[in-house]
Amino acid sequence: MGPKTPERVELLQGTLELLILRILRAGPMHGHAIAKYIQQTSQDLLQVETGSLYPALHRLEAKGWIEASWEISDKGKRARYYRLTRLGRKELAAEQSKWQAFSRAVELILNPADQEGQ
Amino acid sequence: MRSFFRKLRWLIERRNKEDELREELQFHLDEESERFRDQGLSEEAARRAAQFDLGNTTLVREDTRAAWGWTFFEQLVQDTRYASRTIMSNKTFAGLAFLSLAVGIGGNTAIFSLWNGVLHSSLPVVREPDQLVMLTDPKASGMWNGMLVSRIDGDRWWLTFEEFQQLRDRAQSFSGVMASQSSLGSWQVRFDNGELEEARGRLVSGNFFEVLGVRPTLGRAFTEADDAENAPYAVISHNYWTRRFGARPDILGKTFTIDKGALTIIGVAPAGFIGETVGQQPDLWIPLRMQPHVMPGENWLHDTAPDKAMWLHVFARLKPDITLAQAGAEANAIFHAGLESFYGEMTDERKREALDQRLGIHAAQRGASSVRNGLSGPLGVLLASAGILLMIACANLANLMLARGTARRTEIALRLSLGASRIRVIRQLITETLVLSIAGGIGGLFTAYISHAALVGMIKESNRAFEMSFALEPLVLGFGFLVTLAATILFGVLPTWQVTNMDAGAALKEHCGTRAGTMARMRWRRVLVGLQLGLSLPLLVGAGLFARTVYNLQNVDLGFTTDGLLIVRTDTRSLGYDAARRDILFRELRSRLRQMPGVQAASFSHNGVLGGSRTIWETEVEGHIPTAADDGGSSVEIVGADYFSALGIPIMAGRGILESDHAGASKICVINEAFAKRYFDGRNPIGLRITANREYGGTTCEVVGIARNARMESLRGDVQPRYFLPAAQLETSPAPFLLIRAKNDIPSIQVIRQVIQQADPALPIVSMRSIDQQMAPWTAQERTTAQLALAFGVTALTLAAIGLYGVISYGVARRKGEIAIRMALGARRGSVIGMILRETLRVVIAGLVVGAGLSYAASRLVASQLFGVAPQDPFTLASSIALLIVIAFSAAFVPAHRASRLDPLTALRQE
Repeated sequence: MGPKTPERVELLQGTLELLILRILRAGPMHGHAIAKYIQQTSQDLLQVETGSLYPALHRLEAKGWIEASWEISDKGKRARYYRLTRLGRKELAAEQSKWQAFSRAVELILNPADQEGQ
Repeated sequence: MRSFFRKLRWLIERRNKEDELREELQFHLDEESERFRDQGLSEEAARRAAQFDLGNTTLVREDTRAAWGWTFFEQLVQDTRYASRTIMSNKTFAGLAFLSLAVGIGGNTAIFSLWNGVLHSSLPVVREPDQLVMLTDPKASGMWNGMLVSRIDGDRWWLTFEEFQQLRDRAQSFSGVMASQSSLGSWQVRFDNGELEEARGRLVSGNFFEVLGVRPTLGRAFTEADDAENAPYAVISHNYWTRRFGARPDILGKTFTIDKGALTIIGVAPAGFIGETVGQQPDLWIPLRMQPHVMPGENWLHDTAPDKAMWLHVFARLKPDITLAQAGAEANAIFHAGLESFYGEMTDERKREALDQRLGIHAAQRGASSVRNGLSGPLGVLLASAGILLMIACANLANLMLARGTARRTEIALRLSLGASRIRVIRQLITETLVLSIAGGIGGLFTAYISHAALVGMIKESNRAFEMSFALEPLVLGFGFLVTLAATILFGVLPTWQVTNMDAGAALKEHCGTRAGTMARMRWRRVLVGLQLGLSLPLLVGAGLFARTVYNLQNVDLGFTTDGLLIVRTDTRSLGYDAARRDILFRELRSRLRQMPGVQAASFSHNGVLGGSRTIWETEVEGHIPTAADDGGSSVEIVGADYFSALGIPIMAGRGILESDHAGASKICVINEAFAKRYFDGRNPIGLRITANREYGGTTCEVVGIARNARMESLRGDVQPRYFLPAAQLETSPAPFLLIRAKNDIPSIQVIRQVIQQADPALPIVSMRSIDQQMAPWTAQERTTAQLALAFGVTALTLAAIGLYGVISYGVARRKGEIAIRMALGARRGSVIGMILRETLRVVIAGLVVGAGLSYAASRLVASQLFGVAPQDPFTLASSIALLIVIAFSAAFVPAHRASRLDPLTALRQE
């Protein structure tokens, strides 16, 4: 096979939406920027199917957690910007603590020795 | 909820949103390719890389759309559009499918609606009909002037005005007691000095509307104050108001006359209100006390012992917490107290009998109806037949769908191999089926409306007063829906399953020449056709049985000569003729009529021939010990001289009634054979004496002759015992029927009218009928049933023949190659035809086996409605089977013949 690249991780079901919410907390962003942001900040470890990003964005919009508007991008092109709504902010807090509890639990089970050692 | 509105907005603006989505994705692609370009890729490579990263744009768009949750709905709209286009692309199929569904569903719904109206539903418009009870017999309608009228079990049929008043005033179990005329009156009314016109109506007590809980649409209803001596008012029905007066708002205060009484319209009943009797639609209601005014010469309001005028149905509204039994006990106590005081003067034996009467108490939620019993059998048969017909139509439709499915296999195989999921294709096919059945269901409602009217018209032939409008009740709608659903399943499931149950690859290849895997479908189509043939058989047998019933009824031996007989009904009563003047009149009439050229004999009688009325008198016979069978007396007919020769009834012994049997001569009578058998039982009756109506003074007469049994009362059953008394020897009786026997042709009605009016210019002629016209109402119901059964049978057979024709033609077309080879190898035309017909035979025999079983099972259903033919009549069964076989083979012969004309060379080249 080719040169060794870091293994890419597929997203768990439902986590994409959490990520989008978290990213949008920083401010309004269009779809392409969100995709790039996920790839870059996860050091290309997370593979987000671009094809599943847009359905997820629209799902969130339909739920009313984010809203969209057409604005002019930095490069002067019309782009659809998404921003977090008040409801979305509340959901983000809830989802985030749920996720943290979940990942801590998984960590505990996977590495019980580490915990005991400490 | 807010999220729903967001989604709804998306749906409404989806054209826009679709464009936005496209733009959003395009933006993404542009940005991405720009990024790749920045990394050094060429323009072309960058664009491809960006596209590769995003994946299938159409799929992304579809998934994104799905995020809004309208996919199902959108696909449904798509499917429906596509389905409608597909169906309409084949106009013949669409027309045939729509028509068979609309007729099938409509016919079933109409018959069900009638069944529901007559047998099942509560009285319309009436408030809380479940509280209503009846103290009279719901099945009986009419009037009786005499001492007793009751069922075998002793419950009184109708009550008198006085008995009603006692119940109304004393009974505590009811919140109200009202009375109505048990038979629907037919009155000649006149508005504004115009022409006489017929209106139907009822005499009702003042509290009629109040007890039923019905408020008028316009004006006022009657109140108890209208039970006064003179309350010349009328409330008209909404139906009459619209039909006769175009719903004029200024109808109140309009006056009209019935006979010599003038009445004023004071109110209009609410729409849909028909009163308390099901199957009738009165035009107007008039207070009870107006009876003597609208029926001059009759007074049904006051009785003198021992006779009572019994004519009223009595309804009451039960108070809450009172049981039927409690109310019945109280009503009977009041009734008996009334009988006790009325018959107080009477001698012991008769009084005991008179007091031995009861009131029945019946739940009256469904109201009274004299047609309910008679119609329940025919309506059940009709409903079953219509159901079978619908099944045949569905089998036909399923067959058409299968044929169409076969034609569309390539299309569907293509769609399956291009990636459509099987579920998606099935959904598409189900949508097509649903589009058809919804169209059929809606068409069915219209058909139901039309056929309901036609059915009511047919029932009217035997029951003139019958009237019922088509009501779209929830129950009827529900039934229509269920029938549609059942039809959909019947014609839709098999073809859908068959069409999608395939190997797409094989199907595509098959299109290119090979023909594997189609035998299963062919088999299904044969099963369906066999089923159709089988289902048609009971309908054919039914048509045959009913046709024979009608024939037998029309040709039943009446016991007298029917040719050249004219029955003229006059009305001496309204002119106030007494017995003596009447006899003079009739003697003169008789002699004038007999002088007419062409008239052989003329006489008269009290009840005429098959006129629907009869006279029954208490009868004692010399030397006969009364038995239980004699209870209720014997039929009597009061006749003029020459009665037997005018009717052509042979005298078996002794003599007939002569001119010389006048008032002064010794009293005589003639008996019929049935009377001789029951009361004399082997003894010689001549010279023995009969005493009629001893209680009323009595008439004793000597038997001077025995006449042959003749049917005067009914076409069915045994001829009942009857004796004949000369009118001249009796005090009363109007004897309004003139019986005229012509030699060859019946003289013209104008001539007879002239002759009658020469005798008395004022004498009204109510009707003139030949024996055929007189018999028509007696066979009307059977004729209606026979016509419908015949229509059902013919339709069923036609559908089955079309189905068979279709299947055989298709089979022949598919086997062209094989047949061509056979012929090329020397098979004769006859043997090709024979081969195809042999295959047909298998289908037909399978169908006949099923059909014969069904016919046997169905025969019990109709047994009680037949006359002179056994329900399992072998001749009818055999001829139905023969007809079915002939039709089936004619249908199969056409394609078989076509196959035998095949030119082997051309056919093989086409292959």
